[in-house]
Amino acid sequence: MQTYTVELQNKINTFSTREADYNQELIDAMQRFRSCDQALDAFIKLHGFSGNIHSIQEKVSFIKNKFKEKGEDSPRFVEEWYTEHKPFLKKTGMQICFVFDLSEEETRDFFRRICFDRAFDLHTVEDVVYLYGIRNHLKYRECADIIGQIPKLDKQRIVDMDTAIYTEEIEEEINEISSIEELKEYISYHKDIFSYNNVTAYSNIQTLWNQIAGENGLVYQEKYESYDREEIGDVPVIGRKVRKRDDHSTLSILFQILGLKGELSAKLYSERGIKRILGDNSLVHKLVAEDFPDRNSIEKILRGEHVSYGKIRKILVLLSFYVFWAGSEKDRGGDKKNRCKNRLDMILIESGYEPLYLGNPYDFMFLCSMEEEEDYMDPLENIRGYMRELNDTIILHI
Amino acid sequence: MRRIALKENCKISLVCGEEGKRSFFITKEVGRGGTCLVYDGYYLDYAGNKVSVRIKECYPYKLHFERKENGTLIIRENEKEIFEKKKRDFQDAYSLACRLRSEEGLTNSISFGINLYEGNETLYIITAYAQGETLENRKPASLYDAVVLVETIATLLYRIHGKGYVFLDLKPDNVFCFPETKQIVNLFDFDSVLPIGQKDLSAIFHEKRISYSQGFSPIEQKMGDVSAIGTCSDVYSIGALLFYLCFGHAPGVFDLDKYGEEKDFIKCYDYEKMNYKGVYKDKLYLQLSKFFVGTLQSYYKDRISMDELLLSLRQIREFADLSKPFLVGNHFGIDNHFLGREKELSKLAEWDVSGEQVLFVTGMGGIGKSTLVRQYIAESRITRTSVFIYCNKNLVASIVDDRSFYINNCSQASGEKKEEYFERKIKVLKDIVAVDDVLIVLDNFTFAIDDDFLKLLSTGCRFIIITREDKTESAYLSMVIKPFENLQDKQKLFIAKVGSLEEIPKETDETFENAILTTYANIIDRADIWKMNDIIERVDGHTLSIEFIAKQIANSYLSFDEAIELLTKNGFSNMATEKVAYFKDGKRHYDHIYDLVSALYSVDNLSDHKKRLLKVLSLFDMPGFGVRELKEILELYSLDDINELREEGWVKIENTKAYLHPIILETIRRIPWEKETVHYALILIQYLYNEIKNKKQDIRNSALSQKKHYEKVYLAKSLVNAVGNIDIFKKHPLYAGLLYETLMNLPRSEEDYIYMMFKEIILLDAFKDERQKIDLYDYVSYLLCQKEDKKKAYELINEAIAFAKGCKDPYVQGKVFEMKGVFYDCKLNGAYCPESEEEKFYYDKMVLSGKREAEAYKKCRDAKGRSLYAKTLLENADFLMRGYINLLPERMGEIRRNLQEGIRTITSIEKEGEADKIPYFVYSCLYLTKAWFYTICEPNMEKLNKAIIQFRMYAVLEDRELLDQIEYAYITAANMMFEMRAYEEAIDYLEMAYKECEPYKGVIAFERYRYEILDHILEVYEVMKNEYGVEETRKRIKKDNEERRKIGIDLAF
Repeated sequence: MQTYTVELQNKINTFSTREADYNQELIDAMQRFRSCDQALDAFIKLHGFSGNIHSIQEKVSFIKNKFKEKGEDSPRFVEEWYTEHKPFLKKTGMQICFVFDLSEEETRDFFRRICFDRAFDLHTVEDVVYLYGIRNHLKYRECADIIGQIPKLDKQRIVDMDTAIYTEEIEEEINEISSIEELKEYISYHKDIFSYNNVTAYSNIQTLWNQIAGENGLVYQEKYESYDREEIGDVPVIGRKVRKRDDHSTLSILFQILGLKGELSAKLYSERGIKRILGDNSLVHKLVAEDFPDRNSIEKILRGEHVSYGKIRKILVLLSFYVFWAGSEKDRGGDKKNRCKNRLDMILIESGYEPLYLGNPYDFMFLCSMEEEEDYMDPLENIRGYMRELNDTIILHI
Repeated sequence: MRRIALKENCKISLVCGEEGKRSFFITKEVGRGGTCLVYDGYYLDYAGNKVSVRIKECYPYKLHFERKENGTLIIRENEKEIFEKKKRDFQDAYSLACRLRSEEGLTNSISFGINLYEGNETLYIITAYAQGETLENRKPASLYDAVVLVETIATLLYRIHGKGYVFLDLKPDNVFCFPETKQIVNLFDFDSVLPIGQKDLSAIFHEKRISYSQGFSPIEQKMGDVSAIGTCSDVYSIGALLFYLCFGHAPGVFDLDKYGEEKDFIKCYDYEKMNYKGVYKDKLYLQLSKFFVGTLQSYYKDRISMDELLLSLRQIREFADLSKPFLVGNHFGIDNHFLGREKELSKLAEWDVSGEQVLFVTGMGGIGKSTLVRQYIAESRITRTSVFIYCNKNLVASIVDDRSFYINNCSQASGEKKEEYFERKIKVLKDIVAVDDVLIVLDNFTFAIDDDFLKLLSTGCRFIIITREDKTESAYLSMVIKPFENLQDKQKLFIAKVGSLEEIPKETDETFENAILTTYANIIDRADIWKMNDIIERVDGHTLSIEFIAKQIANSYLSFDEAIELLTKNGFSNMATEKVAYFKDGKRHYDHIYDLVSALYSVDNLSDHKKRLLKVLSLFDMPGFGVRELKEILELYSLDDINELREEGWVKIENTKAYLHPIILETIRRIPWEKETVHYALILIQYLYNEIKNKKQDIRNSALSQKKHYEKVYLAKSLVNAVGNIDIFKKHPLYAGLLYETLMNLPRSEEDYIYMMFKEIILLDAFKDERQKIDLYDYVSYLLCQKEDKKKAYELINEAIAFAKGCKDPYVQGKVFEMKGVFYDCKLNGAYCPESEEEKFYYDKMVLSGKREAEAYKKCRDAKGRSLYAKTLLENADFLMRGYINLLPERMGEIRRNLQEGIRTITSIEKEGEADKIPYFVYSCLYLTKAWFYTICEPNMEKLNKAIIQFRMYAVLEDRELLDQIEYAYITAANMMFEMRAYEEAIDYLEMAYKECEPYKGVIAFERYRYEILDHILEVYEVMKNEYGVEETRKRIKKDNEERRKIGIDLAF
């Protein structure tokens, strides 16, 4: 798996964002991303597969036999993983981890590199059981049985930071559990903590949003310094205080972050989203398009409502990236690229998510934008250029 | 998997190589780490002695064990190999700790590992037992202590780095603190220690599976980025540790990666939330912020080095040391909307570098002098300590007012006169200026340049003096602030207040007026520009007026035309521009402003509610009234009106307190009171009355609550002064009540004011009852006696006698005799064994007063009156005991009677369930008398000690001033011990008294005490025939005298 990311790094080292064909280079790079099934190939090779890696049948047999050895029913669409490049569900991913006897660390790594997801959200009953199961060498079937015996709990609004129980605390408590009965008791007794999750992530998103869209936020500073004046919707009025901040919508802020402006963006604005430019666009890897940050998700997060992990993580990356490059950090000397990377990783880890990974196409987009000589570095403009390219491509084709 | 600890009191048999077998006993489990359990325990040495130890058992939490009854740990078969590896790591960590411990400079800081043992199928490390706690459980009590501790830890890690290792596991749990000292700590848990710069570091890191502590480990450790791990990783952890101690939690991601200009670093952290409350130098916050910024960086290359870190901590430690006096500066934010005045700012800057000590900034009221100076200071405040003092009364009063001019560890002591304190403060200021740059701004300076002023200059501070008066003919530099010179600046000010200057392009080829027209197209036309210019001209560019009118227009309270009409009618005609005429005619100009402001006010633009708020705010001088408190007290629905008043320019809010610009305040005060506004004012009067009255007993709880109490008292004083001439209030009973409580609660140093207002309150004659009146007489006469103003005290007592004649309440009569007794006591001046005729005269008078006092109080039926009766009896007994010693046998009967009667009275009040009505001073009097009784009459050490404990306790509970406390609680006790020939104990008490005086070095009253105390100590040593003690005490006296000479104190004995 290391080789894959080294290859990707070598690729982005070779092209510069200053080149006229940067976008084409980016498209090519996007096409190099391996799909889930290709990632799986690397995995099974490391875990005992010695057959013909190009033979779907052999690979499928290998996987199914592994399941059989462990007395587990094999998943339904193993062949389709390869023939249709169908991604598998988290539950299936977890089954694979059990069947291949992965350790806790290896499980986390599996999810990070292959599923681009986090392995354990300890505010969900299933993941608590899986973690306990992996640590105590249970079988997947046993875990599934335990999960089946616990009543389903609905997710509620995110509670505030003062009253929440954090993931680290739950992890410590799981350490102390010494039997399945105790595990069930723990889950039952603490059912409240399973009704919410992502407390820190939401809080961090809120903080980032305040920095971006709060009073004297980055979007306004940016607007008055360099943005087109015609984009400004406010009209100063004599006789009353100008309330510049009131009518700045989430959508217009998101558009500004992504650099979508002018006439060509007008249609997207009227559609109140950018789905149009993400779907069916050869410039966009489908894993980038999937769960791409949108107005609706951001607003839900700000209201404390539930949103998928994928969206949360992508929003964290986008907003952190914007705050870094639109703020004063851009004027700071030194190694900005690594500084930015560290910063984003810090935010992701603190939020309970995996750090940036070159093999993740979405992460790749941001990491790639920073591959430039220090003097010419403008990663925010690179991302915006790319978004505008997506936009223009779709609009002009209509 | 839950780990099962060894049972308490169980015995474990362990083996160690050549040493063979040894048994250890478990006392209790004391902690758990990721790889071990830790116990307190002991073993028996060869002599059979119990030797306490700490026992660390290798027991990794992620592995699965079964604990047998005999303590053996049985690992799961499939984890045997991993466990063996864990044991090897455990052993390696122990060996490393031993190796490091043997290195110079590290020996005392690494827990002493006695040996490594095997047993129960696992390994044990036995270390020496030490008393103390981890930093997690024992946080430092002060910021200074916290910094010392972190500095110690940082030094230790620096030495570890010097030996070629990084620690990588710094967190509160891993730091062991000793109660005796902060200069030594112990680190344990060396599992994560890594060698620096080795080729196979990556392999070592991953093999050891170096973990990280949430919050205290840097990102490179969390990510396993070995290339970045190094000493910088420990730098981060040290920063995180100090952050944790300061704020109570490890730094979150948004506490990291701060960047910008140094002067802005302070804004990066919310010091209001810091655990360590207190008044610190500005420089402390700046240095602390720089430290956090330098250490808490995600990217390892952005962090400071260990050398820089240690230097930074040293500086923070110095600034955190509150034992040294320092000046507490004021905080001003830079006003981003500050306009123009480039010339004036640059003149201020010129003066700043010129080295001239004084600059007068003059100009008429409302022209912007204070704003200008504040802006200048805000922009340059980092380079020195700046203090802004709003002057009132006189210069001495302004300087000695600790509320606005505060020096840490220097405050007016009880009994210290204002003039004495002024002199002392000047001396302390000189010392501060010797090491720090100080700028003092005296605003509203209306005093003469006299000796006091010259004394202030002699401190070496620099001064900006803001005044309305013309000082151009003085010997000092002065700068006159006039209205804005060019029209564009005036227009900018106008537009800034009406709309927003941000709308105007900053750089343009167009004239400013055209730029306005472009930006405000369809809203403002050329005619409006002319009107704006006309308005500006009519107020002659007067800053406050422009601002005011612009805001009124902005809020649609006025149109341009209405504003012009107003000005035609009310203001600014024939305003001279020459300086002399300007100030010669100065008063008339002010009147115009007042008229203008009044006119604007009476235009009825403000809602009734806002008018009411302004009116009540005008009752309070600066620093004003807390906004949140006001909301609560007046039950305001929201703070919107106050916020709008601020936006509209009526109200200023600083440090959460709202106040009015002096001109506006003067104007608003002229506005007549209306019914609803009176109602608001009465609510505030009631509130302050309750607060002061009810808080009285709590003020000893903490310095903070005492500070808050005095804040309320001074607010009351301001309010009383503001409404004192208004009949509606003067005649209201609440006013008299508030005035009374204010006078009874103001510090004794306000004696002049108390006496002045006392006369007024007597004239008002609106006391709740006779007792209240006589209590006030009593207090004021006591103050006068303390001040040694016997003449006034005598006059006052005669007045009280005249008043008491008409009173039937025996309490009143008793009080009068009490006052007389105090007066005669004052006349006697301690001569309780009178020698001269005059002394005998006053002595007899005093004794007689005491008797009469007792007779009067005896007639009281209520608990308080009866308790005063008891007190009088006790005082009499006390007096009789301590008079002529040869008369003691004759007096014994009377002494006993008084004492017993006093005790009986108190006991009966308690039995009636009214103990809470007995003032604390009665109890302290009781125990003091008992103590003397067991000293002089029936010597009994055990009973004496009990009585001393009690009267000392009540002396604290009473509201005694510190000097009284020292006299009462220590010197008296020492005296008693001396009488009992318990000389060592006497010296102990005297030393305690001496220590209490130490913080007040330089205060004359305390210096006298220190002298006297050492004199007493000398006397005791002489009686003990302790030559060494005598010699040492003489040296101390000599040293103290020299110190006094240096600071210019001459105790003329």
